[in-house]
Amino acid sequence: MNIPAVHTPRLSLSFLVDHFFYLVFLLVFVFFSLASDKFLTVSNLSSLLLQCSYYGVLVTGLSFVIISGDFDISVGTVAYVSMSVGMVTIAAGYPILLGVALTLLTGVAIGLLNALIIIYLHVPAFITTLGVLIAGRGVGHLLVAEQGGIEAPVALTQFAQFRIGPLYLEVAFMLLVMFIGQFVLTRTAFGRTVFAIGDNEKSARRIGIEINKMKLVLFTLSGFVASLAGLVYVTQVGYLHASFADGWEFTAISMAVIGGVSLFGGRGTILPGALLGITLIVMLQNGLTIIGLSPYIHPFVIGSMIFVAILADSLKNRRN
Amino acid sequence: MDQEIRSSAQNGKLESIRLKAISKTFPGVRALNNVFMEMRAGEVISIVGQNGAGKSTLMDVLGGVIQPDSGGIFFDETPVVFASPRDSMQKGVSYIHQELTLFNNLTVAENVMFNEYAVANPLRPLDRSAINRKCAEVLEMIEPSIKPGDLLASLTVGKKQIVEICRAIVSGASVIIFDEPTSSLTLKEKEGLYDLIGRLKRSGYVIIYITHHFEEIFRIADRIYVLRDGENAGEVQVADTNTTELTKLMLGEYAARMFANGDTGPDARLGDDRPALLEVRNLSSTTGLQDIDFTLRKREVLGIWGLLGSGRTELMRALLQIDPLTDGTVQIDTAEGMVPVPREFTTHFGYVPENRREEGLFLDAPILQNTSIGRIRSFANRLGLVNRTTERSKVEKVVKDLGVKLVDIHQRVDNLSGGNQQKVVIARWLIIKPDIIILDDPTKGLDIGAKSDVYRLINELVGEGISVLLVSSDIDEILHLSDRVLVLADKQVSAVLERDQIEKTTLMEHCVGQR
Repeated sequence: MNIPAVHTPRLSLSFLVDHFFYLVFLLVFVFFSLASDKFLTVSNLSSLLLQCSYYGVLVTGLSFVIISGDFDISVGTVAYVSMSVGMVTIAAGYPILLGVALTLLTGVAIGLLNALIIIYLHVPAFITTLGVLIAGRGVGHLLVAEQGGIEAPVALTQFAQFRIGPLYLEVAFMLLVMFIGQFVLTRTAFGRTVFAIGDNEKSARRIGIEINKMKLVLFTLSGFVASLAGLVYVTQVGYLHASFADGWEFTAISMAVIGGVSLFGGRGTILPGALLGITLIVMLQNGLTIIGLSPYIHPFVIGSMIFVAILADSLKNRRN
Repeated sequence: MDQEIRSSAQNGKLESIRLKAISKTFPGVRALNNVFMEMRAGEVISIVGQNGAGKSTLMDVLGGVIQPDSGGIFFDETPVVFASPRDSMQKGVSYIHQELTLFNNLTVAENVMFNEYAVANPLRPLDRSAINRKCAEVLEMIEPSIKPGDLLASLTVGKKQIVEICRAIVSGASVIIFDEPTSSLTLKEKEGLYDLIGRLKRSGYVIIYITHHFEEIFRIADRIYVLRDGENAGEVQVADTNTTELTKLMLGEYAARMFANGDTGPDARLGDDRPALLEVRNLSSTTGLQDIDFTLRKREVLGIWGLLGSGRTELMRALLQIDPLTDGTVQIDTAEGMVPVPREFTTHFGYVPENRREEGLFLDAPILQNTSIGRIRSFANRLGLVNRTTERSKVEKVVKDLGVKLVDIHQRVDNLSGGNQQKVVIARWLIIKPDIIILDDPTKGLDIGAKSDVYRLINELVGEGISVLLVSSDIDEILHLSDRVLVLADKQVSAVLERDQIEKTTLMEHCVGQR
């Protein structure tokens, strides 16, 4: 069998579809660099990357779920509730480490809860996590909002100040998490199995993969990672309030999809894919603000970007 | 009691349908060739033939699903053209499928009258009482115990089928085609259906009855058309024939086929004293299998033969513990003697499912990943880290051994031909040799060249000490490859045939429930 030659029109179309967002990324970057002299500066770019950091962590966990062909839209709420538990603990005078541990533990617990509902009550993942998204926020409000919010201790917020050259420590942390994610995804038996389930769940069952076990791990992992992202976020905003991590789920899913993680499952990379998607969205928000465009236009621009990304994903899927 | 079943929607009385010289060719397959048939009102016609003989294609022509390349359909000498399923329905052809096409969340009346209110005029407000009244008239003629207001979901399968028949009558059907209508009915419901079909026949409907079950044909049909390889193979009156004659007509004289040379058949030298590898005793399952008993020996190909719905697939699923067993044991011979088969089937079994694209392959992934995934743990260290060097070299070796034609192993599996895709699915299990490979219709959709490749492969597997459970709907394949054959009928073992007993006629007789 021949591999089709590079110059056929069909392949150049698919080349465009595959690499479309590298081009868009480049165009957006060049455009902002030319449009404003405040964009292409070391301080702006490093703060831009800092804004990416919590999304980077979040999307890493989420990408596993999406590549396996499922959804977890509870991640914003998980970050909020688990931070609430941690912050309340710290505010009550317990050690900070205990608060951090409880935060992560709560993330694991909610993820596990998601998994158990999906597996044993056969509720579709989308609905399960939607329920947790709504109900969980109420729990967070009970813990936090009644007091009007909780200030994060300096021991945590100082993490957002450390730098290695121009690179914030948290950006390095994000890159580490994403690197580990990508490594696990492509180099371990677990990661291969994630791809297999997302590609074709029926085939996966037929080769003896235990889908439920995988779901249990994936949703628990997603919960854990979401609470980790919440920790990274709180060090930057310094304050836990009622709209903490609100709307993360859709931003994160969009970022993953823009970065080439397929909504249909079975395809995608965390590095470079998801990172590129994250950076593109954050860069748009950052650049549009710098060039002084009305903030009401931002959702329109970003929404259009998401639409095009999902369209490209569907086209790719149809091509098969 | 024997009230005539009529509907005001019928346009006049149809006396006969004639199919004249119907031909249909699909790419590479001549599905129908010059088929003639005549069906008269007040007659039950049965159409029989092997899988692939052309029955379904012919019914698709009648149902407007496909259009013939040539030939015509005549209603009382008037030519008719069925451009779409809806067109065919409006001209009076109704289908009662194996799977019912009703809505569980609607009432009986809403289902029966569906075509009248939903299709004909979707915006008209629903006149519930008129619908119920009209439906009641039909139910009165057919089955008064069903009430128009009953929710469909509350009915038994048998009664649902009656509702479907009512719908056909209300829509003005004059031709009713039944396609394996008894497959999910109880004995009593079957009797009820036969009675109803009898009444429909006496009321002057044209009835076409398609089934694999000979006893049903002899029970209710008047005349039989036999199709073989897309052509008319015979027309007989039920009163003048018997199963042996029908079987002969269906199969044709034993044509010397591609296997005539015999060089790839089972190796008789291995003898019949091979020790047992897998012992299945009294296996019953939630999917209806009853008291299945058989032994798979080492280094043998055990063919599993039976008609659609005989329990072939269910048996494979039960062995792989996809469906739970309600009774019985499955034991395998290991170093520690006979032990129950462990929960993780991949320790002993390799499974090649029926539809390789839907249930076998990962189409987005390259050959490498598709092949290694079945045994991915074997490439991983304790931390789960895959050793890519061993992975690549092992996959390359096994893929090469099987003769998969490829550019390199990073090529997407989607771009391979059907035969090569099937080899990839088989290759998956050969990285570590399993004790048993289950092949479910392994040559479905493959051309002759690819088929004989797979046959050679099966013999090589046996040569290397693997036992094969071969499920197939191709009788020649079973005949050609099996050391022994387990025949299933009605989800029970109907016979276990030894090498010298395997013949087409015996296979057919055992699987149609003629014991």
